[in-house]
Amino acid sequence: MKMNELAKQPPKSEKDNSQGYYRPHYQIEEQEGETVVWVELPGVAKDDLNLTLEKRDLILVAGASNHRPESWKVLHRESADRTYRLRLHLGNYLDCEAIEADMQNGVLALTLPKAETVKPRKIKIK
Amino acid sequence: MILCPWHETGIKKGKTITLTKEEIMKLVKYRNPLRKLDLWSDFDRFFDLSPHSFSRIGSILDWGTQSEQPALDLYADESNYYIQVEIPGYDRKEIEVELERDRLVLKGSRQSTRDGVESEVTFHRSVTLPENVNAKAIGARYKNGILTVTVPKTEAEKARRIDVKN
Repeated sequence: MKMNELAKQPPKSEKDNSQGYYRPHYQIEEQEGETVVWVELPGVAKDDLNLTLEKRDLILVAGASNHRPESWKVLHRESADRTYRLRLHLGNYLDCEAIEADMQNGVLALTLPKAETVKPRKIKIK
Repeated sequence: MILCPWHETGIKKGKTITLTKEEIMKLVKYRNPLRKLDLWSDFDRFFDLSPHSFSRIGSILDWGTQSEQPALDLYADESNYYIQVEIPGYDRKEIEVELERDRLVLKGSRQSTRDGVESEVTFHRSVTLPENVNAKAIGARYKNGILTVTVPKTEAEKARRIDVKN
């Protein structure tokens, strides 16, 4: 249930489509104490990645067109120059202040710790 | 109706003929309308791309053992050919670049964990290299989830290009 809450996407706006944004493939995994989101961003360097938090919406914007010198002539092309955009609504159970991001081999790992209030607590029996 | 000569029907070159609808359909089936729009057809013949895919199949993060056919690009400048494949999430050691005669094979395998379940993800693409390359000096680089293979042109090929310019 919580996973669904996180993955809930606001409806795609027309504006997004006209500007050629592309929603990257992503995966969410619930772990003990934290939720991890992996986002596939081939061709995106760490510096090309822009992450912002608007209230409880985490917004990712990344360009992936500058991994190729201009002197290269195209012979055959299957990939596309994309601007990736992903908006994730973070549930109340996550601690927005403690998000960690790690970019490796074109995959972004977002670690979202669960808020202290929702973590299971052991209650001592007297 | 004037039609281009077509060897399958035995029509003589340059001759103006009249055809029935059935005969026209017979001709049409040999013509691939996409071929005309295929700007890289020359290179397609050169490189013989296989398998030919225009989109990635699913996400690398889906369930189960999965084989990917990642997007492949071919580029060239005066000195080299470049082959680029989008394969995010691999480690450098999990990628193999092999040359089997004139066929360059790009493949890889990695473990993916989802909800504690391990699965194998693989990719495979291959490209037949043109003749005018120095196969011994092929180099590969993996950065930001993109594999770039550099295939140098032969000195003779570079020289030939310069001659054309002059």
